[in-house]
Amino acid sequence: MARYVAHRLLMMVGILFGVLIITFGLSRVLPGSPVEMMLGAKPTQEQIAEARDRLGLNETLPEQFLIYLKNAARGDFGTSLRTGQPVTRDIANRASATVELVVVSLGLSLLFGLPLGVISAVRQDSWVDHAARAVSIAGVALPAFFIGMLLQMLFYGTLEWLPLQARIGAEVLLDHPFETVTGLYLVDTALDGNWIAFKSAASHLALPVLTMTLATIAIVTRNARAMMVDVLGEDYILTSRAYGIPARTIHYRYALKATLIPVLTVVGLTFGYMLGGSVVVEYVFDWPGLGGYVVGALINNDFPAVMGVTLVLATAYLMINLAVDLAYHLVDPRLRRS
Amino acid sequence: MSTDPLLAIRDLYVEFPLFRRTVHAINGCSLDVAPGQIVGLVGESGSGKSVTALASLGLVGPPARVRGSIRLAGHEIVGCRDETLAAVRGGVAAMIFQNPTTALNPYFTIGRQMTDVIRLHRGGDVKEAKALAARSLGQVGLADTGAQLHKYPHQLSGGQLQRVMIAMALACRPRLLIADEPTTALDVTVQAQIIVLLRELAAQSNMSVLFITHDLGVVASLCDRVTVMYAGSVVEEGAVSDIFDHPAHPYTRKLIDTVPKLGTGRRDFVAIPGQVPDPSRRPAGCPFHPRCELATETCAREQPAARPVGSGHSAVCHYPDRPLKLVSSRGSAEA
Amino acid sequence: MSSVAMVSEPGRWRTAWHLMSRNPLFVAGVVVFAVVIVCALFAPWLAPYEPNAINFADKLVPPGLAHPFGTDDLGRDILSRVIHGARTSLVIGITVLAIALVLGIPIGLLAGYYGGRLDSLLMRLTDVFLAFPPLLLPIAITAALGAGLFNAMLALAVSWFPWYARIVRGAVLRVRGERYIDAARAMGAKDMWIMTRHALPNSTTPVFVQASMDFGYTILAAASLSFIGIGARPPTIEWGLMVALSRTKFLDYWWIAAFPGAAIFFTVLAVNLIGDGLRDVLDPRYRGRS
Repeated sequence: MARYVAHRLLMMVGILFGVLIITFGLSRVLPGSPVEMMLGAKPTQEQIAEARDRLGLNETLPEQFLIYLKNAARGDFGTSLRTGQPVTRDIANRASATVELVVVSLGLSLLFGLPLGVISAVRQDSWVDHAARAVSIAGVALPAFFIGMLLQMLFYGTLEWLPLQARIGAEVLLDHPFETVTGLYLVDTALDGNWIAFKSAASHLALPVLTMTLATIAIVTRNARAMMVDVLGEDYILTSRAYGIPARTIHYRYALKATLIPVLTVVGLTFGYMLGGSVVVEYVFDWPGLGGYVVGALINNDFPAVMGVTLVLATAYLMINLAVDLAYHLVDPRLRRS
Repeated sequence: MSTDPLLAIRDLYVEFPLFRRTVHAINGCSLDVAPGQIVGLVGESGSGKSVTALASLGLVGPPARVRGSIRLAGHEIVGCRDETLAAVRGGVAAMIFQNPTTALNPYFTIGRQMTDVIRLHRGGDVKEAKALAARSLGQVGLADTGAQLHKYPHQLSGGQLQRVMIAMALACRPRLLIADEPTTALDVTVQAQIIVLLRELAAQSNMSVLFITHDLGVVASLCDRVTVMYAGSVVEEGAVSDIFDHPAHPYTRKLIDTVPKLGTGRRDFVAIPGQVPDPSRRPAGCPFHPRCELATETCAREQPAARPVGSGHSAVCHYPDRPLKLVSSRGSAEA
Repeated sequence: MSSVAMVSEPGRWRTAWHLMSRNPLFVAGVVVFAVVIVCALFAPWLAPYEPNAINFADKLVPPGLAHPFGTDDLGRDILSRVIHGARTSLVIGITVLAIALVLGIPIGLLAGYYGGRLDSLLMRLTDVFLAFPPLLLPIAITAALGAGLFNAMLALAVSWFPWYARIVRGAVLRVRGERYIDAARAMGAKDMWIMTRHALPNSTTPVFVQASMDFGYTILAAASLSFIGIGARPPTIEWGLMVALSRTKFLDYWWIAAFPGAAIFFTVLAVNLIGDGLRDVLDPRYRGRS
């Protein structure tokens, strides 16, 4: 196991290196000089000289890459043109909003998607199965931004139940401030016992989470169903049936355990889709996370910010997939000792 | 022979509807297994022997259609309720499979799988079930049974796993063991060991065995009676000695000819010319007639009925006693 | 049941078509997609109005007889714009997949055929591209190349090709060990010849199935890029961009967002239904599944 972990870590470092080569390459194909991009319009001569020096643009390309690597390793992604702050600080300020959105959405997506997929596999061609498949087919055909806007029309426009956008009511934040500990508003307000702010945070979270969940539940359901159908076709399920083990035990103890292992990969997959989807969904809901930050950066040609977030999210995705892989090895007895 | 058969299959039909056609897997199969008897069910692959075995435990469900009658220890299996199946499966009749490496759940230990089954059929707590599981493993010749219980299937060899399967079956004390080609996936030496083991265990516990195989050599060394299947129906049935010494159906005779004969100095291997018919397009009349060198117009037109050819020996053929042109077929094989 | 799969090659396609034509969802997908294609081909004749004609006198008219889908805040007829948008979406789907195939197929062929060092190098390359969460690499590439529909398509293709490289590689690996490849080589056939004549045809079915599944996703991803402002730009008529432009007004005037959004949904849905139908029949691994 230790050797496997070491091997996987090494592989991840290699891939991360490749990712850095790509982001470095992209930052060098920019139309116009990266210095202009970094400093915006009308920089002074000193600023240009300083920036060229810092980016090492006077060096050869491999040396430039080394400097790039060193900066990235220190967490220095440059200065955001839009906010004038170090990109790293901007990311740190906004990461918690994205984490809160993605974690809650991932939880809901799995909570509803997995059982739906499993039930639809166990009861093939029942109404549950047909409904689940309809949801799967339709769910992947709706763009996330459109789901978000439809929900806004319904829950804000028509029903007036939920707020349109933002993370918490501005007046709530003024009248009922709370201490920021984790950066996750639901947790912080609850720790504070500030239920008014908690309610506001929860109601603001509802629509973005619902959007993300609806946009990804199809992937979860589809994969869970396919994997469960596979498992139910295995010889050992036939053995269990031949020995009179009740259907419920077979489905929800034996088959589910065998299904949950491949389903772990679905967690990684869904996580990736959510990170990508967060860009669009946060934009729709004016959610102050990394995705919204990227869109703002794109509009303002804030290239360091775009690359910084890309690197951070790619790293997060790699780490989740690593965790999934290791969990896989812990759970599957056939892989555990090899 | 005076007792009622433990397993009695009468006029069994199994069909699998596909898109535009229907596969007739079993066409009027009838078969008896008496208490304490070891019956071999023989046929080429695709002859329906495995489907017959699965149907005996009600394991062939929709979309497949099952007609006819299967009586197992007094219970009617065809169209019965789930409670009946639950009572029969494992407890009355247990089953072992062709590929032991996939027949056990890779995510649970051997012990867990055995105790689950044992507690279901014999009751008792986990401790008692574990003791019984260990004893069963000892009975089938596995050493260090306590340690085996904690192992996962991938840690055992194919032969060991088949012993585990047999132990799991035995622990339920079934009256009938259905063995679906249990040695096909194993090495030759291991095959022989498993056969010997099955023979001993059946004798010790007065258990009936329905042994499914395409290997006539195994049948000769293990079984009391033989049923030969071709294209989903029975073509000949009788005691082992009768079938081997006086095969009546042309198909059986060909089948026995294909067995390599040891000790004769040569290995005569006569393949049966032609192919097993497509189960969705069965020929009219006798299903074997396109491959039968004795076939007449009657064979192509009329389906033959079972007719006795000796005591407790019957063949489903219009001309069960006509001699085959064995010489010519041997000659062609040698040429 | 395996006999279904063992039909000869031309017969297989005929059987496949027969099976698919019995799948009502597949047929529905074909019908809807055919409508989209007709819209794309004959947009100028089908559209009742000039799609970019600004007419402030008729702005924000709700759906009605004169404007079945209503008009937007510049008085442009939404039905006409939706019909013209079909062109953009089809062009996007075809272009992105074509570029992705051009990149992916040779890489997969080389990796699968030569194996060894080259294989692991190329496969690590695909790993790197797949290490980015979906949509993020296209965003970064488009940001670097500059916003615009063509750059967005290029970016999508570049983030997409690894899937095809992997599929082709897998298919090549399956035939590499076959006797007839050895025989061809023994008879002095050049590697290039063997790859294109023997290895490549073996990968057409899985690539075709995958491409049919990806077509819809490509349209969705491009619409998302347009939505966040780095894909299509005016005067290009693109459904995602239409929805984006409606953002400030859609709560009061639902039709300016609803119709282009619905156009994306039905087009992608149709393509996915076709892809599912193809996969079920052509890819035996999935037969009778999901």
